[in-house]
Amino acid sequence: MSVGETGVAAASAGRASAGIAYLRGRTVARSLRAYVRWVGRAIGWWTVGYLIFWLVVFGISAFEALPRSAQPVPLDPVYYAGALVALWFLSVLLSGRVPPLNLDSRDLYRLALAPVSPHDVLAYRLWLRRGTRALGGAALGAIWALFASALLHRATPWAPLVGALLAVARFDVGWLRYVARTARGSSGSSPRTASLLLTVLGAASAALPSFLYFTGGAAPARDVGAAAVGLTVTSALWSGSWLVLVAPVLLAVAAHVAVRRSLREEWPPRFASQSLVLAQLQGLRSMQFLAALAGFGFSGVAGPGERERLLATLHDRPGSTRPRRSLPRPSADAPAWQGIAWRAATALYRRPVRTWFLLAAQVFAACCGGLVAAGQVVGGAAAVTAAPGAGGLAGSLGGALTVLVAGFLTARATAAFVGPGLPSKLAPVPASARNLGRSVPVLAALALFTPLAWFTTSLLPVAATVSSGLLAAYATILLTGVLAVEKYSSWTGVEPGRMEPQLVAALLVALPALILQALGYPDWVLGSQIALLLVVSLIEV
Amino acid sequence: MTPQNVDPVLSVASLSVRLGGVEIVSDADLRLAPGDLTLLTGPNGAGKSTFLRALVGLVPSSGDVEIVGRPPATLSGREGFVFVPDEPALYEDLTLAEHAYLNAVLYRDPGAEERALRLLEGFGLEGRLGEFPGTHSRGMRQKLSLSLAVALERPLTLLDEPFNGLDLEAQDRLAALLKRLSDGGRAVFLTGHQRDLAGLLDARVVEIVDGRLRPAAVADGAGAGARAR
Repeated sequence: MSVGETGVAAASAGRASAGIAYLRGRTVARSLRAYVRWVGRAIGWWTVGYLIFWLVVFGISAFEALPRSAQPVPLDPVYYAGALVALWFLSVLLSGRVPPLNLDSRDLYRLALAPVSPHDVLAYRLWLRRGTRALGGAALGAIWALFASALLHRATPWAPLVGALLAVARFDVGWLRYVARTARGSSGSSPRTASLLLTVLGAASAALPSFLYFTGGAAPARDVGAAAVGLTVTSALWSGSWLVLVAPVLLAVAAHVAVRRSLREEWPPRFASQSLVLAQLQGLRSMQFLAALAGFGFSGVAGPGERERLLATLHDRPGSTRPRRSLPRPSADAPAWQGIAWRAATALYRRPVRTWFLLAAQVFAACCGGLVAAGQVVGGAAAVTAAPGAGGLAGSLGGALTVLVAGFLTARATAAFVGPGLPSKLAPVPASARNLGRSVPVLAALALFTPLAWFTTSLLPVAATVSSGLLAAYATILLTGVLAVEKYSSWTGVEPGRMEPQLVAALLVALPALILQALGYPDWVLGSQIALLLVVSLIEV
Repeated sequence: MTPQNVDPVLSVASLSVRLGGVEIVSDADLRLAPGDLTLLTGPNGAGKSTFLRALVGLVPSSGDVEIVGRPPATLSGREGFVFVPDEPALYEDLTLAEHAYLNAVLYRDPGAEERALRLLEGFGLEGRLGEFPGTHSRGMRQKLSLSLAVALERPLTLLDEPFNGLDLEAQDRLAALLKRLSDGGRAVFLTGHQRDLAGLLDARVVEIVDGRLRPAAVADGAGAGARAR
């Protein structure tokens, strides 16, 4: 009998959990093998071993080099740490709107819909999540143990274990909280009671020593006997007795039992739908991470607002199926550029309000950069007229670099405003209409922020006086930057959010200043910039 | 077959596509006259989608392609056709109605918005016009994608596996729409791996086998009650 037949037989014999365990074993073993193979090829296990060896050596060296205070410091940090642990436990009350773990769509369709105990389906993921939490808690406990040894002169060997137990207990209470918040009617009463009771007990037990110390001056860490150590979950912060494990173990076991009970038969009502959305969000994040590693922009992975739409779906907020905001549309027989501008503006308008502030900051920075750079361009020409040769190469290049920075800031703002790419290779849209339409929103924003930027830069020591030359330099820097990003990204197909089109645009904007100032003709820069803008605007791509 | 004295809507001569060193389409010739309704069939992986994509320049190819007498890469050439990929390519942050609007503006055809909305209503989506397509099923997204294309009434409509994901009613409706386009003098070229679609559409059938394009023989009565599976 093959391995596959064994697993199927076990499941069909009525032990569905055995079938799930078998399936899980297969998938985990397969992914582990793939991971081992990938690490072996991509990094090499000898390299990994080498890194781990030196990490251990450095860790031991750091521990041995840890300065030990001559006198133990007062025990105040113990009580602050205890209060923090209590607050951390209480913060569970704020959670519970989404499940702390989820299934992928495959498990959801194949396992969660099958007549199997929810706990059996979730067991692997629960233990995996508990394991990572335990590792985090143990790491924090270990750091505390080192700190206590060096500064408090206290041996707290159980701190890592207690840290792990508390982290696992808090995770389990978090699950109970989720079940309690989303359950309907009486089905949620048991988890509700359990989550509330365990949260209050955990937080009170952690806060008790701190409470006594801060309110009455009593110092339990110094004063109480060994028997009382077992009453609080944070005794491991100061005591080396094994009794410090009693309260954390009891809390973790109680939470674990309550979680098992909550998953005996029924799934939390919203778990499946939220799991699907969470799986999509995780997929989106993974794709964005991979895209970032590969040097692609985020917008190439998902359309604008896709993450926000998924989050709205996850939380049942408005905006998941219908837009929350809409801009008035130009008429259907309007020129194509108006429709394209509307499309780009709509993408911005439907972003979350908090994003608008970021976009506004980008535009404001571009305006300020443009004004300072324009001042440098005009000022450089004026300096040469007044005193030929003044400033030297370094001063000239400084002005050109300012233009380069301004071009880059403009390019970044443009990238955020042009909206998603259009199927212009298929639609009969002239390049000029696409270019104009996608540029209009950012140009409008730049115009809107110019007065504020003008006021701000006028307070700076580098402020230049208003002149037609300054305004012309300012307009050419911004316009060239905007047009260059849109045209380059449309021409090459490279996302405007990537560094490549932004750097190209910045270099293009700064090209006249870089060349002419280096050659000693700064008074030609403005004219060249205007000529460059004409060339860029006439190129039909 | 297309009469030689009629100006073709689509003219393909010696079209070849090589991808990754493998020849997917070899030396293909095809002519479609106004009103032609043609189905391209072939087994999975035969190169149907690649051929269709090559026609509109989405895949690098050699040979000559002209749509209404102009290369499809040109602006005027793009006026002549509309292409629907096998996976609906939609904007997740625009509603169905907004898609119809944008479609009309992009193709400079104000009437196309109204036509698309009516087609969506015909597909039973009248109550969903204000919703995002991301929340819809594959079939609903396909209906939107098809409505947008059909509403444009271009001289040539290119559809990649348009019947996939549609319910039975929608399949009948789409077949009627395509026939109506064809009767109105517009050429329609679509792919599908269901030979019996030819009967449903009353279409000419060409097949692609081993990279070669050739007329296909269709059994009598193949279309009786035919459905896409």
